[in-house]
Amino acid sequence: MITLDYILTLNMCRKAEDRGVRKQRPNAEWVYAGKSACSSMSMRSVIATLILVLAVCFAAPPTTAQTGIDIKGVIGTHKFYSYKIAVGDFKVVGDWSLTADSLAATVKKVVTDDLDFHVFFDTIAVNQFYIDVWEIKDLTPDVWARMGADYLVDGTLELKGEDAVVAYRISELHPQVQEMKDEKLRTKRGNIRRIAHMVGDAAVRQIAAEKPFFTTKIAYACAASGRKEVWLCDYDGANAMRLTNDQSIALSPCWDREEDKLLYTTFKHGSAEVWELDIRSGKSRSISAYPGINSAPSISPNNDEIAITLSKDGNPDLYILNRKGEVKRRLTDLPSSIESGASWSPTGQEIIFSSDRTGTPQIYRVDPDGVGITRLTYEGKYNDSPDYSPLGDAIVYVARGEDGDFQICTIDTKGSDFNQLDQTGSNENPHWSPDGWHVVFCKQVGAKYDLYIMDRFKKKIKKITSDGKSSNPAWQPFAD
Amino acid sequence: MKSWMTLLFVAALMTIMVVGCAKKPKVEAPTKPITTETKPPEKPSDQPTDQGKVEPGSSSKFKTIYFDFDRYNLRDDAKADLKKNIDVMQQDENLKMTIEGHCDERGTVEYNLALGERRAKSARDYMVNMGVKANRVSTISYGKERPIAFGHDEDAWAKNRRDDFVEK
Repeated sequence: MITLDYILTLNMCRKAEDRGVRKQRPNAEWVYAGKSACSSMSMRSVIATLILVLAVCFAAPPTTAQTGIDIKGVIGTHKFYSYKIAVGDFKVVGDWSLTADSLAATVKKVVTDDLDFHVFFDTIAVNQFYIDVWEIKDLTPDVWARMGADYLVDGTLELKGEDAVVAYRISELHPQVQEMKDEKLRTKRGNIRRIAHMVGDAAVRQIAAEKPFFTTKIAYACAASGRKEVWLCDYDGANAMRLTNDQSIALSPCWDREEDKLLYTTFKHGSAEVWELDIRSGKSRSISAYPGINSAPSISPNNDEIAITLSKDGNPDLYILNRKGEVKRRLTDLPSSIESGASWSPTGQEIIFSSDRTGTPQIYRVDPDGVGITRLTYEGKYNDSPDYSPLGDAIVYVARGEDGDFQICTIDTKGSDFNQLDQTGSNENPHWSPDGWHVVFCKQVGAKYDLYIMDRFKKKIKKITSDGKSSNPAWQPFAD
Repeated sequence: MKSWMTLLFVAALMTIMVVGCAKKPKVEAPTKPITTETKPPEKPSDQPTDQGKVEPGSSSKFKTIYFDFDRYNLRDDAKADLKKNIDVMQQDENLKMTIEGHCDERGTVEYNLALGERRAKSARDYMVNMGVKANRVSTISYGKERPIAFGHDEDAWAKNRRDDFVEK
């Protein structure tokens, strides 16, 4: 049990830091302040202690403060904090209707789910005991502050014809309530989830000074329509829709870095070829249809080149193509091993891939001109499916454990600092979120394959598909 | 002094109350899976009619051969069955075939696609070495995309790590 004065001290220290952090950070995207020293409070008399105890009990109930020190993640020497945020009601203004009420509830739920999943945030729930004791009727910012929240998002929703207008407000609650941002967003009613994601995005941008991803999409392979096709859904699994209708086997989508286009592998002409699909128009064109297999494409950070596995010269090796699909150069040339699963570093100066040149697949790195091949993984007999973090600090991949199950693991870019993200089921095809703090992957439980998202540090995990036939996810990159 | 004692007592009582209450497990509502508004999977209007054409498995003339996990070398039993397939090819000089390489469901899509090709090519190389003309045998890999057994145990996996031989 954390002592009460410790909680109070901690809260006061953290709040002071939070303010300091934000002041020094507006333009530095990856700088996080270290934890400063804070002195403990001295108690002068029994009365003072008791009053303080009472104050703490009712002002900052232990349920919201028991997480203790808030440093949740470290990248290099940088640390980040978990911001305690409350998502208040989105009250219906104008004419009240059941529709408006349910849309407002949707906005609140989506914003709450978004922020709760984001590694930088902890959402604060209503403390019913506190509400009951003080007979609180209205959840004002002050009330949220006393329930442990440091920040608050709330707002209103109004129906105007077929449109919904959401006015949101982001407030800082310490040392006193202060509005940080407000904005009005108008959309068709059917688009309400997107608007809610934009509210979540604004909170991430405003409070954590991070690039938000709540409006990004995930492309994946799904066999729910009978054949495996490429599908698209929101980052949280909502609004799933089928993109291809190849009626053969379509899989392994890879995002264009700038436009709404995907490269993917399809068997529509017999063997595995790589095609490019324009998501908006639905039009597709052949990119790589060399004899043998054409698979596992990965587009370079400058969007000009494709690293790909081809077996046109007899053996699955890595090649670099231009965006038309013409071979620019060959990266690997070993007559009896499989080279596959290429992924570019964010600088474009490195490509990681898997190779079974030692008998079983392991992760390697190579320069984009084919020199400097170095092995990165030595633990375990089967390491595959590497993806290079957009932050440039880590590689996520799958490792086959002693029990035969595949697990999602990370290493740093030199092959050290091993970390296993998830312990259950059998997992494959991990892919970073565009901000590099989260991953999406496919988990097999029994006969069902579904997509899950999780973060790197708190390891909060969320299932985003439930058809049992989804795999091969690729998270949309930020369009810079 | 008496009033001080009363205050002390009340304070202690309230502390116990609150601390006791705080011990309740935190309701972690936000961590439960969200109810997505995923539309039911749409059914393609033009349902494929060529379902029979793509059924996995060897043509009745030929024998399927099997592989060990993450291996593409030919086992002795595979070589024995492959010889029977070669006999069939040598009895009818007009016969052409495609060797389809397949894998079990373990491992990634992309690696298995490459592994399936290695399996198909192992068999093709063996056949060509035994005198079958190279232009009569083509290869294709389906990776782990066309399992013949749908279980999720070694029994099913062993059946899926295979080369199918399909008459063209």
